[in-house]
Amino acid sequence: MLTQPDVTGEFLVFRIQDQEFCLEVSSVREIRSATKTVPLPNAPKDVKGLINLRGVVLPILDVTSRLGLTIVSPPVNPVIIVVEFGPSLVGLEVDVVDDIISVSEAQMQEIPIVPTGGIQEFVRGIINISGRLICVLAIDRIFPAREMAVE
Amino acid sequence: MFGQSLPPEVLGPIKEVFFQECEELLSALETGLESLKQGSADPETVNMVFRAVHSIKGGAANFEFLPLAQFSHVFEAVLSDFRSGSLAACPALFEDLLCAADALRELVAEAKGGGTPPNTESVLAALAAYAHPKDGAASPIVDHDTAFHAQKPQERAWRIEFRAEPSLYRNANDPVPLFRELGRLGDLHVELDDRALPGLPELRPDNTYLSWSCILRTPLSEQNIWNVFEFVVGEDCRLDILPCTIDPVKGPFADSPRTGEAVFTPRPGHPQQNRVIRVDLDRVDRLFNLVEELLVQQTTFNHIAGDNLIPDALPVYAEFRRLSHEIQEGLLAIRSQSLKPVFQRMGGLVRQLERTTGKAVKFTTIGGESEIDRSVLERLAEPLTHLIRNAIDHGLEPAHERERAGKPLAGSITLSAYHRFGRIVIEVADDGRGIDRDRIVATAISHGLVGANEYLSEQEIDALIFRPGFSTASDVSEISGRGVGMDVVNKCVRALGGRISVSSRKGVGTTFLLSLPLTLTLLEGMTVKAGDGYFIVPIASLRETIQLGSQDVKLFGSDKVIRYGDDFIPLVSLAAVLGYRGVGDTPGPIGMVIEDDLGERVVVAVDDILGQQQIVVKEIQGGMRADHGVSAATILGDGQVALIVDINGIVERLKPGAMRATNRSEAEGKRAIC
Repeated sequence: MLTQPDVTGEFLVFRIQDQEFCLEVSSVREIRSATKTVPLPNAPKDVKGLINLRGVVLPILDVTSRLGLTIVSPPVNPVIIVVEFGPSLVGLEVDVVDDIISVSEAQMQEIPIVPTGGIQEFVRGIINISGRLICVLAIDRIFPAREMAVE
Repeated sequence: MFGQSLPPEVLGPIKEVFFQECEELLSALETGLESLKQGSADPETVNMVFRAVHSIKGGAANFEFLPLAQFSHVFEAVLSDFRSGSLAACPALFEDLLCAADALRELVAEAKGGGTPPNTESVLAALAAYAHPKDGAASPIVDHDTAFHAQKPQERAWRIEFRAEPSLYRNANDPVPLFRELGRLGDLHVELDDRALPGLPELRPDNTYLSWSCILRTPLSEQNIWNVFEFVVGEDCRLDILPCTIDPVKGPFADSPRTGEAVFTPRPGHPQQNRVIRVDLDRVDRLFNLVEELLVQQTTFNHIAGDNLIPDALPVYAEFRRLSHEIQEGLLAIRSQSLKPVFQRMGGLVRQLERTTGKAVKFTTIGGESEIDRSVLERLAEPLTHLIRNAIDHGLEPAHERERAGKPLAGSITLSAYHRFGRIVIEVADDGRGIDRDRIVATAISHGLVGANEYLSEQEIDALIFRPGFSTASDVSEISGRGVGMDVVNKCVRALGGRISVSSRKGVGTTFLLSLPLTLTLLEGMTVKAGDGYFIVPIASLRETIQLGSQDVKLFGSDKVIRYGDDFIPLVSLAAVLGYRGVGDTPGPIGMVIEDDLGERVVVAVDDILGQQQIVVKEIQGGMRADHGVSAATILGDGQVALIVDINGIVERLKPGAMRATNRSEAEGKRAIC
């Protein structure tokens, strides 16, 4: 009997310093190569600056720094993933975009408890695909707009 | 009834249209009642007021908004009695009717958005007191014929024969505006008769040869038609106005020679029911964004290829630029809305405050027809609400005090608007007690805002009320609150790119003056280079640009000041103050004298000035609102992002530092000596 596989959704997988992360495809607007940014005064430290995306002034988040990852080797051609963030758009700068995966409910796992922490607050869950560990990022938590407002 | 028969996806848009109509009807109702209150006895106004409530009632009943339908039913009954003459006009009646209009607005808002139902009992009781003993004057609640559209009074057709005499032109009149005016009265067909026009050799330029036949269908009376020709009747023209019947098959001109036909449409700005279309604002905004992108692309194109165009392409490109700017202006005009709805809301607020404070207020509005962009209009209600609350609560004295001062018992509040230098100026004036400067200074000293022995000019004292946390209200009022007041207004106005100022005379009154840009999407700015980046300095805050000669720059501790006229004012590097470079860096060679809304001056040094132009303001995505120093961004011709400098933010940033305090005490010390 044919049954519909238990798919929870499609995710865009990207890499930062050999770690794999992903975002729901539905929130991704486009992917483009990174360009020079214009720094924004008094912006949160993980916001690299602004770029002109066809007339839209887009803030770019340095995901590496936001997640507190150590840079072992700087990326050769970093890319920007343009994602929808509430009513507006933001850009996430990452090392490499890999592929799109379909993930079933069974492959989703809860966040493991780790001693250093730090990354947990930005992660919604983890995916285990044949031994690969892929973190599902939470866009609403990763973008530091709310902290700005508090400041 | 739509309630049961239609699925929600069909019903939704119909409801939407109903609420849009309600908005217009409420607006017409309030305008009409106000003019009746002022003593107008125009039967058309009475009819319009009645029809407005009647139409709301019909729609409300169809959608089964029962409280709204029931309330409008009672309201309509009173208006019906008034229309028939069985209820005499008196000031108290109009007060109650205006209160009823306010309640109706609240009920419509409730029907639209849910929420807590407004308490209409007292208003209903007031209306019931007017009820005709026999009642039955109002039509039943459900009325299918008039559910959506106001009942049209009987239309009649008139034939107007008009021939201009030479004296008409000599007296600087012109037939065209007359036809336009006629067009506003109803459906107008104009036919030109040029049979008397001679050949060119016989044509005398100072003679007249043309006459016109018009057919006008209008619900208005013959007198209204004569009024159009008020200034030309007599020797200037031959004029006949006759009732006529229109042959439905042959049309109005069946028996007259067809030499040329023109239909005059009313000028924009005087919308007639059938000349107006409703458009979802989102659609206009989407179009507006596209045009903005077009303009950015055009500037980019100019940057890349502007100098290398082949000669044949130059006029084409110039035309292309002209057209895109015209499209932009046209769209801005579409987005423009009159201030009237905001002014009317303020009228409602005044009436509400009259009830809660017990103070009688004569509220006058001037210039409500002025138009501004929706982006500004939407954010205008908040500061105006604060100002009017404040004026009634603190400005206007209680009746006994006014009597002692020999003033009319009813306080007067005037809300006026006018255009000036490409901005809109809005004034809120009261004839109350005026600002008590002694008390302001005392409060400012006790709050530590100024020193006990400081000399302050009247202007400086008045400016103190805009400081955060400043409030002189000795009793906490539930209307104006405490501590939130003028500084909130100041913040709102500043966020709109506007300025607020106040002038006041003790015992005579206080006037607050708001100067606002007409739109938030365009800005006149100076593009400058500082550090590695490009910035826009709004022209509105720029006083002057100066060459920074070393002889005028003085060291003041580790900071710099510059001699400007008689004063020493702080000199900072723009890049440094925005946090790009260390404060110790050498400032650029050009100084821009900028002034914040409170008149505080600073010279910011930049490396280069690239020119002045109108820029398209782009909000920074992701909710990034850097409050200190940058308000928004724009895109330059080469596609680069440039940040728009927020002058108030810049001055704010200097405040904790030594520079401003130094300048202030120095300047003040000098003034005290003089």
